[in-house]
Amino acid sequence: MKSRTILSALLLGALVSCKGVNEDTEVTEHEGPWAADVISNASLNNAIVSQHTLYPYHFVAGAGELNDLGARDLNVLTDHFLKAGGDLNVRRGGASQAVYDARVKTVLEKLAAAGVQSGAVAVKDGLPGGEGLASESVIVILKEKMSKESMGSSSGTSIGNSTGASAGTGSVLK
Amino acid sequence: MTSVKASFRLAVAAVLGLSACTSTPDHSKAPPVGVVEATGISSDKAPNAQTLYSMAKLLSARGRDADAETILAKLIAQHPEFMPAYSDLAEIYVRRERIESAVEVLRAGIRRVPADAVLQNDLGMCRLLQHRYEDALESFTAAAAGVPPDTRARANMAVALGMLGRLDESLAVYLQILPPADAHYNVAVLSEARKDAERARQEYALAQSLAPRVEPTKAR
Repeated sequence: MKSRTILSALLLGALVSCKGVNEDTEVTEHEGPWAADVISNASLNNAIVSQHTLYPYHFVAGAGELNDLGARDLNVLTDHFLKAGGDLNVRRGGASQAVYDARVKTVLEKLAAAGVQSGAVAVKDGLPGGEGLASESVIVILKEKMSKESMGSSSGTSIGNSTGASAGTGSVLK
Repeated sequence: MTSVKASFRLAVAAVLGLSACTSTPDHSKAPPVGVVEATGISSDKAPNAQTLYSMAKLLSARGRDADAETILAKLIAQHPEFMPAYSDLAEIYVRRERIESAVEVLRAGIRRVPADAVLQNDLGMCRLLQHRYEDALESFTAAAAGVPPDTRARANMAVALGMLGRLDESLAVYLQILPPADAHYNVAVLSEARKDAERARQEYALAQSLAPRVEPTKAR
């Protein structure tokens, strides 16, 4: 009786595992990662959190949008920021002021959309793990602008002429 | 005894069930009864994608790249959804120094599956060989974000960034995947390739200070 039950289960399992008639039309992709790759990816994610920095290569060239890699790495950082706050550096590199501002705005919006708590993250243009550079004041202005926008104010604050009064604090996500 | 008999019947049913589902013939395409196809016995059992691919692999391993190329081209034409064929054909093209043909094949594959990290990485390698570093960076970046995830794409990204003179970004990427000494050593090599002797000297010195036992040969 027992063996009959087992065999019935096997038969059902075999039938369920059958593929459809149109299996030839499915895309045959490259093989998935090996166990070692999974481990190295975990290590990579740790390194990304440790650097807590977005670089120009994370963005579409000459634009404020994140590319696919930028979105992937920001997701890793978001997961971290959801558990613990901290600094997030957005490196300016050779980007123009307007492009850099757009990038910071994108990052702030993505973090907010992901549910990172207001005040949990300070965004600045700093070196990985280091102190913020002079242009962090730019982001402070941007933060003010975003706050005004969120309150319904349409008056735009000019970006890039800060006196740096808030230097050293970075901008707090609102 | 009865239960053994019953079990046997079930086992037979299971085996029949399995064999029935593996070869689901499409009867709508079969020739009418009594009609003999002119091409003979082999025509009703055309090699599937995996068979063609294995054949191409075998030929390639024996150094018969021209034959492997023909089979892979046929495989892509008949089974455009079979992604490994694109990278293998591109590999043959690169070996035969037909980089632009390799680029075309890889692009065709990427059009079908844009997130294929292997194809994106291979395309980046072709672009590196062509010294088109901006294009290489774009492909490696897509590869690093693609599927399957592979940290080697990041290493290639770091090369492209370095060759573009974006050495700080290159170093940052290397630091994500390598120990600091190796990361600085690689950036030193890239700086040398860009004829930036001062940066190369600094990076070699840093690499040595971080791993003094492993002396980079170029640092001396």
